[in-house]
Amino acid sequence: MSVAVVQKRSAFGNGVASVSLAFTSNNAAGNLLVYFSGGDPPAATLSASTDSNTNTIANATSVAGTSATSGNSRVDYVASSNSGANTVASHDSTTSGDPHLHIWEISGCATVSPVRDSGTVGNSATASVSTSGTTALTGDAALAFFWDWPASKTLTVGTGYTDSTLANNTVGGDASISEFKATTAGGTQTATCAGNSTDALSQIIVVFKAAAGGFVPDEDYWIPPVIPPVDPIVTVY
Amino acid sequence: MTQTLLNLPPSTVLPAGQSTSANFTFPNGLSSVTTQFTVQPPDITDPTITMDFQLWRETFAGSGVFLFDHGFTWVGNSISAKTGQPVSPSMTAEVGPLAGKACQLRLTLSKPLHTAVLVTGS
Repeated sequence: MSVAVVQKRSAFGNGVASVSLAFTSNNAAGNLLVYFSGGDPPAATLSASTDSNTNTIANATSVAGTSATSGNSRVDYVASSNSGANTVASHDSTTSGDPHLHIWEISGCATVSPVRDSGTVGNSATASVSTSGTTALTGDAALAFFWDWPASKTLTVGTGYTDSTLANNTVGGDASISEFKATTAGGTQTATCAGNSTDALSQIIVVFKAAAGGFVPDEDYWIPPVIPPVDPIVTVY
Repeated sequence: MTQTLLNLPPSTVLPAGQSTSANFTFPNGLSSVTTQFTVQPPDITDPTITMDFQLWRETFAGSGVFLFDHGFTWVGNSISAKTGQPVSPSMTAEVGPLAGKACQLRLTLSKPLHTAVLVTGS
């Protein structure tokens, strides 16, 4: 079973303490859920995302903006979703933040310890982030997040990535994009996005393991012994 | 193109406690919905005012059953890190399941709030 996007959605707020967003459709049981959050730097911190469907949420990685012009980002995930309606909330420690929230449901991933590799960039105008390791395999799910605080930009999906969602705050002035691909080669994975100019972006990439391949245990079976046929015209003494 | 879906003037006083707006229908063919509050003085600088904002959608036409779609929490006198000024809250979400659905705003306020409310789709 190949990794694939089931659904995705994004939202952002201005001057608020938290934002919540429902998935468009009910989550299926056993899928990977990925929650990207972007928050204000530098004093505020992002705490763990929460959801409404009693899922077990873990943090894949986070990155703190390293200046007053580069935001904080984190990615949380649910390795194996419960089925049903689900609303996700992002929480910034400031009450006047500009939080961004992107939520993805991915099928075909490992349901136990699914994070294969990850990487972060805290503060760079070069929109390119790579995994720290080389362990990704062909067919894994690579997801990336680029967070531009505090400037509005029409960020566009990077080369090789096949799906994305953009949250562009043209009023309050910030932008984020998240993107997905099924990896086509193993080793170090890199994500990029276009549309930035000189803004410092915080950036995250996470590679999630594809579920084990389609082999199933062999069935035990019995091979009957070969009995030579007897020629009916031969008399055996 | 931006379409106005709900527009309440600055003279609006939203009541303390829980309240629900009139229903409005979100049209097909739009990609995002934005709800912008413009909180009036002196409420904009009153830190004792809290608001829980929620946008709900009807499951299907005429069902009368609504589901939570998106929302935020806000506290008065929230100072924008970008401008240094008190900021009125707003939220934008991808349309997702809202297309063609009746929607309503549900608010919970600690005190009455003087504010304009504008819901737009684009």
